[in-house]
Order: sequence, then structure tokens, then C-alpha cells
Amino acid sequence: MILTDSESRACMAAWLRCSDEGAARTLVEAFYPFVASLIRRHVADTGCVEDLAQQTFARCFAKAAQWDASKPLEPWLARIAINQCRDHYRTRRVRPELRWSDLTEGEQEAMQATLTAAEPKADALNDESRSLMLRLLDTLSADDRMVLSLLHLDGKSTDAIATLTGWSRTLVKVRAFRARRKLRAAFEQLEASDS
Amino acid sequence: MNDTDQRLEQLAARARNATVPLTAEAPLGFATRAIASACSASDTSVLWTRFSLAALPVATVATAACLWWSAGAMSADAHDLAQVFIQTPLFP
Repeated sequence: MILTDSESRACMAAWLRCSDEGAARTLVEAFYPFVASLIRRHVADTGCVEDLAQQTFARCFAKAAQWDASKPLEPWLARIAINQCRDHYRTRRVRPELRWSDLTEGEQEAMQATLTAAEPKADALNDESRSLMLRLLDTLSADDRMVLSLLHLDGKSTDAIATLTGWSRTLVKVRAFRARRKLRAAFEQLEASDS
Repeated sequence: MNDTDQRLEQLAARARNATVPLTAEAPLGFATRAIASACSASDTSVLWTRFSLAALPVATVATAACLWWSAGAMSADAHDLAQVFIQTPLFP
């Protein structure tokens, strides 16, 4: 189901006016694919996607009064979803280091291809590369992980990340610079554990 | 850009091309759970607002009682001090 901007505004207004469950249900059904795919891109554990999506919608309805009705709903929902992902990673323990033996066969293959700068056949190693990248990002703190995930996996600009996270552009740049340094260290450590 | 940066860039480029499975629709009962969760969250905040409003008159009465009690003690102190001044001879 696809809703236009005015339809989603009308549903949010109905929810705000009288907690109209029908309107809320329409919004959930329309925006679930968008929210779920956004979360799936940033969270390695696919089992958490539904829980995080549910928390996102619950927060959206609970804080509906804070939504600026002059703007579309989608970016606001994306911001809530990104914050839920960040909170999810804040609660889990940061993995101190990643070793060669922790990788699956496919991830090892992706790492080998990266180290030898070999061009893999067609798109064969894309999924394994993504999985390896997410594993490397797991060695970082929640904020560092999120900024690099948005920058490198989503290909978002600094401005877009600043809007999504609520950070200033300078903070995004500084955080990305420091996070990249930590990611480089984790990558080199992984490379050294192979030899 | 050094070797490691280039490799990481290459890895990220491949990761960006990975296929993230798309979800067509919400699972059964998902909307109901999300709405119930939102209602319970807002119920808690309503409860806190009610509690705060109910506690306001009690806090006002307690503050007024404290002020009244401390004002009485202050006036007694001033009276005692004045007595000491009066009774103290200027040229012993």
C-alpha cells in the first residue's frame, strides 16, 4: 500500500485527534516495508528487525505530537528508526576484535578478494562483503558504527547523515574521521590474524 | 590514501551492491502490537502527569507551612537580639 503525503498527514491527524486505530494501522501497513528495509541495512541480526520496527512505530505514535505536519512523514520515521538502531547497538557489548577464525567461509573469501585486489566474478561476493563489513563495524561503538554504516553502506552524504541523526555537519565529519581510523585498525588486525 | 583505505573502500563498494531482501508487507498482528505498545507508552506518561498534578497542592501546602514556621522563628530571634542590645550598658 502506498500513501501520498496528504493521506499520511490525514492519518497522523486522525491518530492525534482521537487515537484512531484504523488510521494507525493504515500508516503501519504503508510504511512497514520502508522502515524494515532501512533497519535491515544497518542491523546484522535479522531476528531483531521486527522488534526494532515495532519500537519505531510505537515511538512514532507515542510522540506524534512532536511531528512537524508541514514536512513529509518518511524522513521523520527514518530518523526514529536510525535512533532505534543506535540504541540497539548501545545496549550490546562491543566486540573487542575480529579474528580470521571468526569469519564464515564466504566472509574469508570476500576478505581474500579484498586483500589480493582481485575482481570477483560478477556480483558473487557482494553479500559476503556486506556481511564482512557489518562484522567489522561490530567492533566499533554504536555512534561510530552508525555514521560509517550510513556513509559507506547507504552512501549517504554528510548533510543527509546530519539530518537523520540530529548531529551537526562538523560532528558527523569528525566522528566519521575517527571511526574510519578505528575501522582501519580493526581491518589491519584481521589481516594480521590471517598470517 | 594508503593500501588499507583502498581495500576498505573496495570492500564497502561491494557491500553497497549487496542485495538487501525487501519486505513486502508487515507480519500478521504487527500493527496491533505496535499500536498497543504506543498506547502503553503514552499511558505511563499520562500517569506521571496526573501524579505530578495531584502532588502540586500538597507541595504548596508544605512549602507554605515551612515558610510560616521559619518566619515565626526569625521574628523571635530579632526580638531576642533587640532585648540584648537594650540591656547592654553603653558605658560599663
